[in-house]
Amino acid sequence: MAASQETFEKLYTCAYCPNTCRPSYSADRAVQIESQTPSALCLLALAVLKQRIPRDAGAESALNRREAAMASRGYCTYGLDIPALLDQALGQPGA
Amino acid sequence: MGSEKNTGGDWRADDLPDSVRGALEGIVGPENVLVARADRFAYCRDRLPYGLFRLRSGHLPSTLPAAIVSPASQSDLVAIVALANREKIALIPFGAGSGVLGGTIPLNCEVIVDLKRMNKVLDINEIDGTVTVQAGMNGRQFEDALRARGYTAGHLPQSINMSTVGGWVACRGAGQASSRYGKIEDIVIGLKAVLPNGRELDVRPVARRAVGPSVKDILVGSEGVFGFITQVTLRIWKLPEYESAMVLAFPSQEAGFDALRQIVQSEIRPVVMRLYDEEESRQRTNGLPEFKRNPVLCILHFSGLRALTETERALSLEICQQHGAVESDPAPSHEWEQNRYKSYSIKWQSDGYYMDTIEVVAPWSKLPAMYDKISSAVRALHPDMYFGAHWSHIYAEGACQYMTLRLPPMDDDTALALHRKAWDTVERLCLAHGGSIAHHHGAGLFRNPWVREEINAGLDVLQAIKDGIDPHNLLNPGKIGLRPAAGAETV
Repeated sequence: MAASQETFEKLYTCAYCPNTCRPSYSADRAVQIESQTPSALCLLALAVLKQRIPRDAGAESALNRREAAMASRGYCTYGLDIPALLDQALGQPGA
Repeated sequence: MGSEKNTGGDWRADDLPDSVRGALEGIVGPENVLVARADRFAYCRDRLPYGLFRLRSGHLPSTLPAAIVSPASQSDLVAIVALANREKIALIPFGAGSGVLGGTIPLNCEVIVDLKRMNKVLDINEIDGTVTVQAGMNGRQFEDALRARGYTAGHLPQSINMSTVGGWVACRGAGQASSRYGKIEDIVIGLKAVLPNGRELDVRPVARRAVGPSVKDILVGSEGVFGFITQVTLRIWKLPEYESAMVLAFPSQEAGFDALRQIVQSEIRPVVMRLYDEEESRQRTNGLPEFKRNPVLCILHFSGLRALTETERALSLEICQQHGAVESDPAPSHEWEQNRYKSYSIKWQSDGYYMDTIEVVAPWSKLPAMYDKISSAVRALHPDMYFGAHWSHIYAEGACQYMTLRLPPMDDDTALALHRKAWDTVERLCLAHGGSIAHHHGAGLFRNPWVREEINAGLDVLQAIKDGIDPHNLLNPGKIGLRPAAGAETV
């Protein structure tokens, strides 16, 4: 099922946001990389949906790195639930 | 190294040789070296609006990085830099990528060195009034750690939630409370760094030194070009016991300039000083009666010991009233407080607008004329060009003019050309009025065209330092107007 216009709009909002939710992710976690931030996940999701990046094993691995996105729930400036948004957008492989 | 066109465009994505990848994994562990295309894509940008425009239209800002490596310690970093020098691998230091001038954008498939694993407060010294912190610590988490102990570093940029302490220092940033606490160069008293040649630099934290020119200041504002900042010692202050805000309506911008200049030149130090042009004032004062006749908004905050704060507030009000201001409802101040750490551009960028901000400095004697020239010249570029400005870093000698420019959705090539023209217009008019092309966003990549005119022979001095400590030009080449690497893309 193709992602809806509303889903795309939310993905764009997060992708273009500079991660105001960063402080929600603990400094004690071992993984501290940019590609797991909500903004990067949404940027990557958009690139996959628009077929600018293949949905290969590397993309799946990156898109499933959700700890920072889980921590951002309730913290987002725009009230977005990024894990749910990503699931909605990417539900079907190649969607 | 191999490169390939991407299915979605003409992305340049040179790969890291397996031998180098293996060597990096030997230093930091395989889990801390990323080479998948998807991970590299996340690091192709910072928050340069031009970069966003490019991504929005399916392109890259420049190239993908070859890999991302995440060191846990300074010793890891020393080993990484040694490897880079042996293998001639270019590196780019990366904090949170919140810079808006393209300072961390890879131009030649460099390896990104993500410093966020180095993210702890190491020491709070309550006698000396200092804190020592690793460079990769998130700004908000850092400030919250201080506040839990009753202190503040006083460096409160809009980007505090989405930036790192090391990034503040590398960018030579300024926070919203800078009128009282100073800019980052006033707050940093010591640091540790790894130089591009692999040597470890230790600028011990002392109140002051007179041992030749300031080596510390080669790194403060280095934008990842002169070394990896790994650790910083900053001044801290007790949280203020009392705070007070004031909203004023001025009859004109010039009256506002004169009042703020007089306040600062009288050695009064409000913690926040913000003056808005009529365009930006209108957006913030809708319905407030004082602004019908006095259209220019000014927000002042005071903090510290109660007696001192009340005195500074009273003196400031008196000065402002002498320049025709009237005190107004505090709503604009509350609104600003609630939104001070948010990004204003997201909605516009998501809706296809071309929005950017430019911050410059001018002396008081030239500021009114510079504002008039810049505002009319930028608005003349396109009938739908939005231009608004405010002044929020106030000095005895002058002020920072912070401008917002915005074009509506249109043909991308047309918009990018207008965007570039707007930048050139602003920077050249700023230089013509004796100002600086950059107050606190740094030079990064996007200001390269104007750096030489700003600092003239100073650029040759910086190049000589760079050549001395980075003879292979490996560390973030091509930024701050310095020599790019051979084969690098242009933006």
